[in-house]
Amino acid sequence: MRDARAWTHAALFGSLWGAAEASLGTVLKATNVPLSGLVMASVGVLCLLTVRRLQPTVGISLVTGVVAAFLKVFSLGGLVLGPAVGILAEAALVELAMTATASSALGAVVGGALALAEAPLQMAVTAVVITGPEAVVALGKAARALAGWVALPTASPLAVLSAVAAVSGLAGAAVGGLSWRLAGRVTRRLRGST
Amino acid sequence: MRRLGTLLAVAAIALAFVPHALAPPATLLAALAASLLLEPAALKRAWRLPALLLVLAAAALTTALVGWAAAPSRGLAAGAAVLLRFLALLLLAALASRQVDADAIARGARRLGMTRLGLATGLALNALPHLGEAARDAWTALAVRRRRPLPRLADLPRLAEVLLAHTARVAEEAAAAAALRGHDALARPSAPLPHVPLLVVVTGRPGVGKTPAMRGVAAALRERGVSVAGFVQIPVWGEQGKGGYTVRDVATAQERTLAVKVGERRGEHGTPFRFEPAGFAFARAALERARAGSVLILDELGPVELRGGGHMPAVRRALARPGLAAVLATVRPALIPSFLSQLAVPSAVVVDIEELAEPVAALLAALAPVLPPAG
Repeated sequence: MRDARAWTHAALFGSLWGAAEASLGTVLKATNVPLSGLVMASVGVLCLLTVRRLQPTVGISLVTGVVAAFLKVFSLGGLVLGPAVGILAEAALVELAMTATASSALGAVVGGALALAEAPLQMAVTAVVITGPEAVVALGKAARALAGWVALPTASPLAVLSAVAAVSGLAGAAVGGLSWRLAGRVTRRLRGST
Repeated sequence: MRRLGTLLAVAAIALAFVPHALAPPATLLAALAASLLLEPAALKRAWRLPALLLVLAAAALTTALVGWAAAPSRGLAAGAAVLLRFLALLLLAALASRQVDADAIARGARRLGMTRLGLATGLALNALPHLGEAARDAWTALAVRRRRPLPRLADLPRLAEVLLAHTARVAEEAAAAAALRGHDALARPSAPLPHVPLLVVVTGRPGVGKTPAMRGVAAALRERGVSVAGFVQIPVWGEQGKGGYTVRDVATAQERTLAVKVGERRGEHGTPFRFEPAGFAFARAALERARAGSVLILDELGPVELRGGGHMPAVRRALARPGLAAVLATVRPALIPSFLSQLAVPSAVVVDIEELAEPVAALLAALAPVLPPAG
């Protein structure tokens, strides 16, 4: 069959996600709104799951992510590698979860959890790449010392990172479930209007 | 020179990720060389005062932190590495933003055998203003409905639903427009038909009488004892023009409603019509009457079918039936390349009935090689 809809849907939903990243994402980042990374990751999960529910084609989430990353990188006239890599990783994780579960609600929950848990992990990896492992070890030591001064229980940086990723993952699972539900409403809306 | 510059830029990016003491200075050197070869002005643009201050602050912080945690000398080395890596990455970013644009991406995608990805990014870029406008409209509509300048948090899912549905509609329209113009570069390649009967494509502008000609041919073939199967789609005219379509089984002359006009915004598959599943089922049953020796009548295959929807699954099943004598299909002129490409047939007879005084006779003549001699 010759059906261009999978590609046009990937292009349009990637465009929507990329536009949200370039506008809302930039504003949230510039105004230092807390948890802006998680908010934008949730927007991405919503776009990815909606396009997957409308066009359950293997690979469509990945193409949507590539389009969104392209727009994020070039829409502001400056190359921003970190967010683009984050978008691609998020799309790849949702693609993996949805392909493994044949585009089901379970896949949406797992995909959402993986996508949001990826954000703090990506930040850590970027920090290691840019500042080097030595700086990260030093940062961990500083954090432990700071925790000791204010009488907080100390934990290894890896444990803290794992805890943050786990909490983000739980939030992501909820976002995935809600996004799948909203995608269902979009599908019904499109069918109902015809 | 340009190729060398690009190669150096790629090498600089790769070097930035190498965990070695010599990697950061090598990264900066490669980035500098790439910039001098590709665009020297990028240096000035990349290293502006605010960016340099930020990089210096990051390097100083790293120096202090590592110096405190390990040793001052290690701190200096780590700070220098951060400084050099950031300077190189800023330069590469400035270079890329000037050298890489949508056309370059499309060209690169084509070279890598990913033409469709290049086209999709082009479509995404073109759709950006439209989506922005849609978001603004949805926001304003919600504010007016709620009588508040800013929607509440509870309104956001509704807003998202409207915007996502609108995006899906635009995607449908884009696919329909591509099919309508005969563009099939974004479509998946189809499997060729197992058996290829004589294919006669009937074409002509809207309103020239393609459907009456098909009905005339079906009647003439029945009179000659030739088995016919398939359907014609008859427009239903109302006070405001075309109000829908009925589908008519050419073998039994029975009819069912196929599509009802509901307007551009509520229409399905990028058309102003709502399609009835019962109409498609009726057409499917009409196609299933085809047997060896039958002439298959298909009127008319449009953008919906060329995107694989509508009648197309049933049409492909009917076309795969062995021993069909011929296929007579109505297709608009602009859709013929896409139609032939979709069926992957090696040859077809195209009859434009616009200039013909006796279209039924012309179509019978086109079918003559597979028809029994007229009694």
